[in-house]
Amino acid sequence: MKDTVLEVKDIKKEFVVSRFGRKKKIYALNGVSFDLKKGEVLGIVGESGCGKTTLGRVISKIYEPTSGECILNVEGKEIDIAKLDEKKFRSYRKYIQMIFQDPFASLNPRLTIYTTLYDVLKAHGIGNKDYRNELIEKTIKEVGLENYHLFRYPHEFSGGQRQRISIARALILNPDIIIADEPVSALDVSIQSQIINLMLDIREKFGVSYIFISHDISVVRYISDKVMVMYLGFAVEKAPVDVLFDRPLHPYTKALLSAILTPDPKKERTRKKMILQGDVPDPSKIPMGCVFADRCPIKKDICEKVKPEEREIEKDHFVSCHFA
Amino acid sequence: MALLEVKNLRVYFHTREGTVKAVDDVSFTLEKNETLCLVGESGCGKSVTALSIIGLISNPGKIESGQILFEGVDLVKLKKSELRKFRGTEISMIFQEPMTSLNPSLKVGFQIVELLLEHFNVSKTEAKNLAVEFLKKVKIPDAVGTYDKYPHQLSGGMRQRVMIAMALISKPSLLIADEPTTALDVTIQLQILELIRDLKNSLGTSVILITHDMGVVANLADKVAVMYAGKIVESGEVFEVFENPLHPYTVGLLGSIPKLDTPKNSRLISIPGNVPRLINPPKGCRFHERCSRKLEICEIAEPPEMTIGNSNHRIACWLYSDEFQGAVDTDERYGS
Amino acid sequence: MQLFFTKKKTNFSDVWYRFRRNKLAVIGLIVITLFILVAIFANYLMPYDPYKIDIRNRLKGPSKEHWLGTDDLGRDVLSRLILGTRVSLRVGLIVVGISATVGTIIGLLSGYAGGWVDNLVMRIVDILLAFPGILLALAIVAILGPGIDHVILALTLTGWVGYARVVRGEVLTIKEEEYITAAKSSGIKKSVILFKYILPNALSPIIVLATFGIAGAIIAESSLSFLGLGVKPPEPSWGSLLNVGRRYIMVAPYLSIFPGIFIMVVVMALNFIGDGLRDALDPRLRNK
Repeated sequence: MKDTVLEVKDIKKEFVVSRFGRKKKIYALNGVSFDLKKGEVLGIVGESGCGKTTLGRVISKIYEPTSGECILNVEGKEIDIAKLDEKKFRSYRKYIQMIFQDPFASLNPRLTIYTTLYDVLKAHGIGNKDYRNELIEKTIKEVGLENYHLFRYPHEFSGGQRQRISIARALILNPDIIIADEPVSALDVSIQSQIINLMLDIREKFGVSYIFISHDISVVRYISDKVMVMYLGFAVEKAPVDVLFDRPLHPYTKALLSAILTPDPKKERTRKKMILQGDVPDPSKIPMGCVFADRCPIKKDICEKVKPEEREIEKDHFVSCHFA
Repeated sequence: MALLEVKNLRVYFHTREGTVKAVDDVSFTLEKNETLCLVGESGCGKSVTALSIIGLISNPGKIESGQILFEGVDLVKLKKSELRKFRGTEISMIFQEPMTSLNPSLKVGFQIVELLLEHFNVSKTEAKNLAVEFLKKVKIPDAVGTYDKYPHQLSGGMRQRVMIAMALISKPSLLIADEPTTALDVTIQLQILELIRDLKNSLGTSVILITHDMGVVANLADKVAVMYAGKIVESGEVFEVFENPLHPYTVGLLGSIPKLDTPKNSRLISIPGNVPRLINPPKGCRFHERCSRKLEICEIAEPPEMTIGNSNHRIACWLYSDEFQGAVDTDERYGS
Repeated sequence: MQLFFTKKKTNFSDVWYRFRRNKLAVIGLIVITLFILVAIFANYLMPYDPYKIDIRNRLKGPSKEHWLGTDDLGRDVLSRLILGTRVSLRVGLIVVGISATVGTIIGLLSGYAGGWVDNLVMRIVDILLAFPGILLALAIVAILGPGIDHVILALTLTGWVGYARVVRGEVLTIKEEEYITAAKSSGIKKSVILFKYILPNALSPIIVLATFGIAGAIIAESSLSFLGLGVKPPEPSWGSLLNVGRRYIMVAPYLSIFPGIFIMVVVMALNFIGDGLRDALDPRLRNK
């Protein structure tokens, strides 16, 4: 496909952690696939430990995947970046940039904003000094900040402004894909919407694709074109956003949607809620059957024994459940 | 008589950089078996308000003036030792991150028993039985097993349940919950909110819930007070405030949350600017710099608190003052 | 547009500006500068010949002639202290300068590399730390022969270990910070991450260690000198003067008090400088 910028196929990631000398394998990603088109926003939702953060970091090669393919379609070529070593990936790094959750932690406290941005351009050998300065000024305006902000340090900014700086850092390389890992979760509600609006403006203007990782389903619904629901390192349901919210099929998706609190007391108190029992299971023990079996309200015997295959129920609507 | 009556509370923090007016002239009442939500963004003073009720304001913070009447007793006037008698028995508190309020090196059950032995005249076996009973009450599946576990062996949701058990075991009249579900996953959040509602009803406890999440308010509150920069800008019955939000800040706050029916490709309502610093709060109305319906008076004078109609819907905004009534049509809903 | 960028303050002038605003740090800097000048111009400042023995006037307390009194051989204490500044400051500054630099670099690389490199380096560090440093230095000087340069070498060889350990610990925490991950994901080179992103954030414990390290080195030199492995006897250093004074602590306490005060003043001055430097290097503290 021509307009696909990224195609992820059956990506897996295992971590080995040792605690008190005992080694334990954590299965963070257990074969996730999706594709991302130019200018599209893919929302990834799920609770802590579902692997959504790991997925973002594997695609941006902060972590090396254990197996699988990650095909980047840029410069008219298709490259499997999952196979590239660090040196070879360097020249592709500028196509995939990240925005992190905590705007207080993701900026080096000892560098001015100017230096932070300049270092990025320098690392990729972009332009000479004048050109870099021009680009920095242009980018900082793009994210709604001013020139005089450039020579300040991160602690002099509010959370929302820092997140703007993080966006500038990603945007300055003119990437095709921006992976945003919980970009608004740490911000106040009134500031969240500023940042979301900014991200949407940037997409409109530059045609960048987003992978928007969040636990906040109402934000994901608002910003995404399609959504992937993750549970314990598996993608249990994938669908265009309206389809997923109109016709959720996987019981976990239903529970997740049901857990969204509506800011309207009348609706909130009368709507039917589906309260899940239990907690997210331990990612070091992946059950033999369906990963959701032990919390699932419609579980049958087969669920504990056989892993459900991913099926396409309607166009672009995929689900992994025996009874969907 | 109301269970709790906070009158003109002012809590200031005297720092080297200046005086932070964290809570500035805040008043509200809480009836028995009622849930009040204090909602607002970081730094609006909602947590400080709660901490002053339970007497945990410490240097450089100080309750400057005001009354906190708990069953008629003014907690502000009490000595530390007298206040301690209320804390943990009559008034209990749970926090956002339960891991930091549990001792990591002691078993959960032991910590509950310690608490009981300190506050009540019970034997060790009685305390143990009571502890298990309450672990069951907060719907921990394996109560007896959990009794013998260390905090780190429990999930976040389970730890919060343990904290709730510890807070309610003394059957307090007032439970203060400071962002109790913020650190939890969404499906777990719903479990905990249901639990708080059930326990409140079965034990007859009043609840002050502090949150930044309008959804939580909609789920649980009887009354809501919206705080901004150390002041309550709007308060009232939850249905009334959500249905008919009047203060531009409340309207903006509600509008900035993407709802299920927000049209795609539209932009969210956003409140420009940042939350002000409370060392030098803006003159006049503290919200005027970010307000899109600002009047001239807003920059000069603080808006008085007034009641709308004959409900207890109260608001501090010049737009609804009689003097400026002509300037706006009160029915005109803004932003929607 | 160009004008705007030329207005940019350099990092150095920024740090200097913040350092200057800390009064204690400036005082510390002046004191150390004075001591360095004393060391350089010792020959012109000494009121008496520091080696001239005058048995009749031995162990005389402070007086108009001898401001700080005389020692067990009747030599002028002030003169000896002034001359001793040379040895002591040299040992202190060089030992700490080299071992802090070496230790920091080793700690940085070891912590950032992780894996077997880190394991190997840390085992070496553990072994070196298991011996009392002074004993090790003693052995080294014993092999190389006495002399102030050998003392410096010996103290440096044992001194870097502490820095390496502390820096490595800092690196281990800092490299997990999100801004390091962010820098990596922006494609910043490893060497830049190490020296521009990690090192400045690991500086404060290094500065604290270094200021105390200088005092430690001055004392260590005295112990080695006491055993005849450092400066040769008639040549004074603060440490050796302190040692001599110890023998007469009951009859002539001033013999140990004055060298002690000198060492203390230097250490305090260095501490003030260290504090000031640490704060000046941290942009977060700029407004306070």
